Amino acid sequence: MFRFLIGRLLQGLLVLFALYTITFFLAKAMPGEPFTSEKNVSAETKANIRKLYGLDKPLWEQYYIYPKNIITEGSFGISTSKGRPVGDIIAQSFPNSLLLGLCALCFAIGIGVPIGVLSAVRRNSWVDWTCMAVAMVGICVPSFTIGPLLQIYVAAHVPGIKVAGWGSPQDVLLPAFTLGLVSAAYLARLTRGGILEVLSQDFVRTAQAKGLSPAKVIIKHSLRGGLIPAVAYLGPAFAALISGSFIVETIFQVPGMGQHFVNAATTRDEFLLLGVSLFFGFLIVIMNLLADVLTGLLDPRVRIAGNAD
Amino acid sequence: MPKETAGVTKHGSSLWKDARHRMAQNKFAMASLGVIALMILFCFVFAWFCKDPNKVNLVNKFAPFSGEHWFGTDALGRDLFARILYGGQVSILVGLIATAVSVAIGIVYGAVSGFAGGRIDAVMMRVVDTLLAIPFLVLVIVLQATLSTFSGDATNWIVESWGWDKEFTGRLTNVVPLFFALGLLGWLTLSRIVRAQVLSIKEREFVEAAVALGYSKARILFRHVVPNVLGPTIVYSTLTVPGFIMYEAILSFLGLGVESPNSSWGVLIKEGANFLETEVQLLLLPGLFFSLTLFSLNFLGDGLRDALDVKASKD
Amino acid sequence: MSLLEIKNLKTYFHTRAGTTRAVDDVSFSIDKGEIVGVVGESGSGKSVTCHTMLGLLPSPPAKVEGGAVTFDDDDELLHLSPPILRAIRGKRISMIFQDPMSCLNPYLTILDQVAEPILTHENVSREEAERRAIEMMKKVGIRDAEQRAHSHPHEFSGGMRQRAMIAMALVTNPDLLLADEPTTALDVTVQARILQILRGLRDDLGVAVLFVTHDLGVVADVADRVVVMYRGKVVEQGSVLSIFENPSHPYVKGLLACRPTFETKYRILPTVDDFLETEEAPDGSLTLRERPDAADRLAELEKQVATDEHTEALPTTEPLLEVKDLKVHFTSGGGFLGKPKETVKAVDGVDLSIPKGKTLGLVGESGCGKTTIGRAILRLVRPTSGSIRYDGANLASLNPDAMLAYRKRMQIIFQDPYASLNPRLTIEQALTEPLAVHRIGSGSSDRRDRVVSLLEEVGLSSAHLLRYPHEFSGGQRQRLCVARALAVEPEFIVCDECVSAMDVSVQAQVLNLLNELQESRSLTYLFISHDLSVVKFVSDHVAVMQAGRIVETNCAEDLYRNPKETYTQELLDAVPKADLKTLRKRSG
Repeated sequence: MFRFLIGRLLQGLLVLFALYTITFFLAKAMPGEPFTSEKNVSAETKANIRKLYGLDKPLWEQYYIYPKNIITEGSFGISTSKGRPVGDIIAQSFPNSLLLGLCALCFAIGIGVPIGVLSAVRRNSWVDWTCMAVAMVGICVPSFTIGPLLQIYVAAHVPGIKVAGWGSPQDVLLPAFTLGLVSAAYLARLTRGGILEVLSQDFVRTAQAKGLSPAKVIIKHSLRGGLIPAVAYLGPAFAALISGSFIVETIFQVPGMGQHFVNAATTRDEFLLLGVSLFFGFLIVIMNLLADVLTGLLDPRVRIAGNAD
Repeated sequence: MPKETAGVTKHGSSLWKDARHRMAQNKFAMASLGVIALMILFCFVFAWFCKDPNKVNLVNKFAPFSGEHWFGTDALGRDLFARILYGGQVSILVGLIATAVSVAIGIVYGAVSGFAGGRIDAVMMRVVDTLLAIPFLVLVIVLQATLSTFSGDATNWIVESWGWDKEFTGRLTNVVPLFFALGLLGWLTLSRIVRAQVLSIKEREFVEAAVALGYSKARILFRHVVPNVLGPTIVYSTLTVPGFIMYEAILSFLGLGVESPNSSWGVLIKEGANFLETEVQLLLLPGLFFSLTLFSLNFLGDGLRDALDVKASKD
Repeated sequence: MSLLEIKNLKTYFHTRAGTTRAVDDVSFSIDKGEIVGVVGESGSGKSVTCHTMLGLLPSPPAKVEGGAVTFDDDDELLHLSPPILRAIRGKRISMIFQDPMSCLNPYLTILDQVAEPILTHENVSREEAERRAIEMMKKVGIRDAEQRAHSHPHEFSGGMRQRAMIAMALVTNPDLLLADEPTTALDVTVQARILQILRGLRDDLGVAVLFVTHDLGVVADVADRVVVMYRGKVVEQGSVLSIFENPSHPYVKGLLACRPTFETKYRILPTVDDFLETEEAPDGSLTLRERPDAADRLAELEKQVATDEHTEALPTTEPLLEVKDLKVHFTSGGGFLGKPKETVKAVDGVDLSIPKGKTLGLVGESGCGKTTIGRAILRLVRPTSGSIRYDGANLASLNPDAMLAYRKRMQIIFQDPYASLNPRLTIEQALTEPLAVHRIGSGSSDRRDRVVSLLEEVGLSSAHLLRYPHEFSGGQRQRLCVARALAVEPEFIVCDECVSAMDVSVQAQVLNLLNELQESRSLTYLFISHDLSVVKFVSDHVAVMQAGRIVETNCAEDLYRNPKETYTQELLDAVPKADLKTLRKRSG
C-alpha cells in the first residue's frame, strides 16, 4: 500500500510539472508583457517584480525562477488586474470555493448515489425510468440555465434566499445545488451501472443460494463492488466541480477562486492565471490520490496487488 | 463423416447487421436519431430561409411571438428564431469538428500504443495519464485565451495572403481555434478506450492465428484488429459530441468562446440570462434546443452502446 | 420415501428469439444420503434443473411451466413464498457452483462468507458461527484454516476455493447438496481429491448430493445412481452399473461409446449420431429414435481395431521437429515503483522430438507450460533459450522474414473456437485470406474452389461460405479453424487443447477428423491436452509435463500401462475410473 501511495504521489508531481510547463509557455506566448498597460500597480512594484521574476531574462530562466520563488519566497507574483499578490488572492478566495465545493459534493453524493442504487434495484420499472430521465436532465441542461432559473423561481419567491451574494449561511444552498447537479447525475448513472454489473455476477447468485434476504444481498454483497465505479469517478467529479465553479460563482456572485481564474483568462493576467492553475492542479492531484486510496479500501484485489491495472 | 448443413440461409448476417437490427428496435434511440436529423435540417437547411439573425432593430426589441417573428425578438430587436437556428450551426459544428479532431488523434494514438505494446505503450500511456489528470477546462481556457489573442493577426494574415473576405475570415479565426483547443485536448480518453480495445483484441486467438498464418503486421492491424475495435470507438465518439457542445457553451458563457457577430446556443443562453425576470423565453428557448440536442445525442450514444456492445462476441 | 422428488418439471425460456424448452418434463428422485449424478452435455438442461429447484433463475426469460418439486414430503418448492424458500436455501438445501472464483464475493473474506449461512439461519453468536466455519474448513482439507480464513478469495488456489465453497455449503448440515459441475474447472488431481471429500462428507454427515456433470467418468466415480439428460429430457436413469453395463437409450449408448477411454478399442470413435436420430417438431418438442443401422455401424467400427502403431518405440530416423533444452521465461514488474520483478519459468529446459507423420501427445495440468511450448514452437512467443529444429533449421534463431517461409508448413489450432475466428469476416473471406497471402491458387475463382473443397474436407459445405462465425456451433467453428489451418497446406499442426472446450460427442467428431486428416495428408501433430484419455487415443507417443519440465516420455501404451515416474502414476490414478470391472467391484 505504501509503495502504491508513493507511486501515485510521484505521478502527481509529474502532473503538476506538466501542467506548469504547459501553462507557463502558453501564458508567455500571449503577446505583451505583463504590467505594460496596468495602472493598478505602482512603478516601484513593477520594477521589483521585473527583477524578482527576471522578466527581462530569457524564457527558460524565467521558467525555473517561478517555482524557485514559490519555494523560497512563498510568492506567486502579483496579479496585474487586481494589483495584489496572487498568494493573497488565492488565500482569500479559496475558503469560499472550498465551502461551495464541499457542499456541492455532499449534495452530489447524497442525492446521486441513493438514486443510482434505487434505479438499479428497481430496474426497468417506472422508478428507474424516472430517475434516469432526471439524471439525463442534470447532464444535458447546463448549469447556466438551471442557475438563473433557480434564481428567478426560487430565490425571488423564497424569503431568506438571496438571488446572489455570499454572506449568510443559506447563501450556499442554491449555488451548491446548481454546482452539484451535474456530478449527482453522473454519479447516479455510474452507481446504477455499477450495481447492475455486480448484480449480474455469479457471487450474487451464491448469496441468494445461501438464503440471504434481498436487502442483505444488495447491502452486504453488491454495494461494495457496485460503488467502485462511482468512487473512481470522485477524482474526475472533483475536477468537474472545479470547472463548474467558474460558472456558478459568476452567476451567484460567489467570491471564489473560479471567478478569479476566469478573470485572469479574460484579462490575460499572467501571474494570476499561473497561480490559480497550479493550485487547481494541486487540488486535483490530492483528490485523485484520495479516490485511489478509497478504491483500494473497497477492493482488496487492488490493495494487495499494489497497483490497479 | 456426417455432413453438417445447419440452416438454410445462404447469406450470413454480419454483426453490423445484427446491431442495426437491435438499434432499430430501440425506440428511444431511433427517436433520438430523428430529433438529431431534424435539428440538423433546421439549423443548416431551414436557416437559409430565415431572417438575418444579426439584423438589429432597436425599435422592435422584446417583441412577442408573432407571425413575423416566430419566437419574438431579443434585446436588440433581432429575430430570436433565426438566432437560435444560426446559433445551432456553430454549436453543432463545434461538437462535430472537435469530435472529429479528437477521434482522428485518439484512434491513431490508441491503436499505435496498444499494438506496439511494451515500452512504447507504457510511455505513451503515461503521457495520457498525466495530461488527463490536468483539469480539462483549465487547460482549454488557457489555450483558448492564448490562441484567441492571435486571431486578429491570423485574420489579417489570411486576408492579406489569400484575399478572403475580411468579415468571414474574422468569424472563422474566432471560431476555429476553439475547435482545435477542444479537439487537441479531448482525444485523451478516447485513446485510452481504443488502446484497451486493441489490447483485448490482440490477446484473442484469431489474431494469434493470423500471426501463425504469416500475415503482415499491417494486414493484422487493419483487417483484423481495427474492425473489431470500431464498436466501442463509435459509441464513445457519439457520446463525445454532446460533451464538446456543452464545453463550447460553457466557454461562451464565460466570455471565452465564440464572440459576436458569431453566436452559439451558449451565447444566446448567456444573453437570455440577463433578462430573466421579464423575458424568460430568451433563456428558455435556446436552452430548450440546446438540451434537446444533447438529450438526443446521449440517448443515441446509449442506444448504440446497447446495440453494439451486447455481445459483439456471441458466446 | 425420497428426500427430493421431481415430477414433470418444465422450465422454458422465453426470449425475443423464441422459446427454448430448457427442461421439458423431467422426473427423478433422490433418497436420503444418496449421491445422484445428473449427466448431460451442454443444452441438456441439467444446470437449469438445479437452479429451478432453488428458484435461482431470472424470472423474465425463465418460467416454470409445470411440474412439482417435493422436498422431504412437505414442501412444494416451486410454490413456496419467498421467505419460506429463503429459509430452506442454505439451510436444508445448499448449492455449490462451477467456477469458485466468480462465485465467491471478492470483496469479503473467506471466513465471512463461510460463516454467513450459519448467521443467516441460526441464532448463534458470531464467535460460535466462526468457530464452526473454521471447523468445517478444516474438515474439507484447508490447512491452517484459522489464519487463512481471513484471506480473500483471490488469494486461494482453485482447489482451495472450491473447498471453501463446499465448507460454506455444508456448514449448516443441510439434507441435500446441489453440486453444479463443481470439479469441471479443476485439474484432474485436484478433482480427485474434491470427489473424495464429497464422498467422505456424505458418509460422515449423511447429506444427499445431486451432482451435475458432463463427465461420465466422474459420475461413475462418485455417484450411486445416474440420471442422463438430453436436450431437456431425462432419457434414462438407473444405478451406475446398470447404465454403464447395459444402457438402453440410444443416446446413452452413443455417449458411452464416443468417449476415448483408456480401454477404448476403436480407431474411429463412434459418435452419438451413429446411434441417435432426433426430430424436432415446429413447436420445439423432440422425438428421439434409435438409428436402425446402429448395430451395423458399430460392428464396422469395431473391426478397425487399433493396431500396434501406438506401441512402437521412438524411431531412429531424423525427426521432423526436434526441441532441445527449450526455455521460455516471462518477466513482469520491475521498473520504477512497479511491482517487484518476477520471473515465471513457464518452460524450463524441455526436450521433445516428433517423427514425421506421427502424433506426440503433451499432457499435464494447468500451469505446467504445455501451452507455452506449443506457442514457442510456432514463434508466437519468444523462446528465451534452446533450439527448435524443424526439418533441420533452427527456428529459434530465425529472423521474422525467414520464419515466414516456415509458417506455411506449421500451423496451430486453439482451444477456444469462439475466439479463434475473426467475427467480422465471412467464412469465405477468412479461408481465402491465407491463400491470397501465400499466393496459393491461380486467381479468385480457383481460390474459391479450393476453399469449398477445404470445407468439404472438414465436413462442412459451400452453403456456409457467406455465413459469419457467430452463426455456427462450437464444433463447427473448430472445424472451420482446422480448414483455415489446412489452407496453407502445412505438414505440422499443433493442437492446443483444441477439443477441451467441447462436449464429448462433438469432441469425438473432431478427434475423428484429426485422425482422418493425419492419414490423408500425412500430417504430424503435437497434441496438447490435460485430458489423459483423449491424449492416449490420439497419440503415438506421450510426454508428461510438470512445472515446466518433461517428467516422462514414452510410447502411449507403455506410458499408460507402466508409468515410470511417480507424477505420471499420480495423474493416472486421479483419472476417474469408469471401466466395468471397477464398477462391478464397487457395487459389491
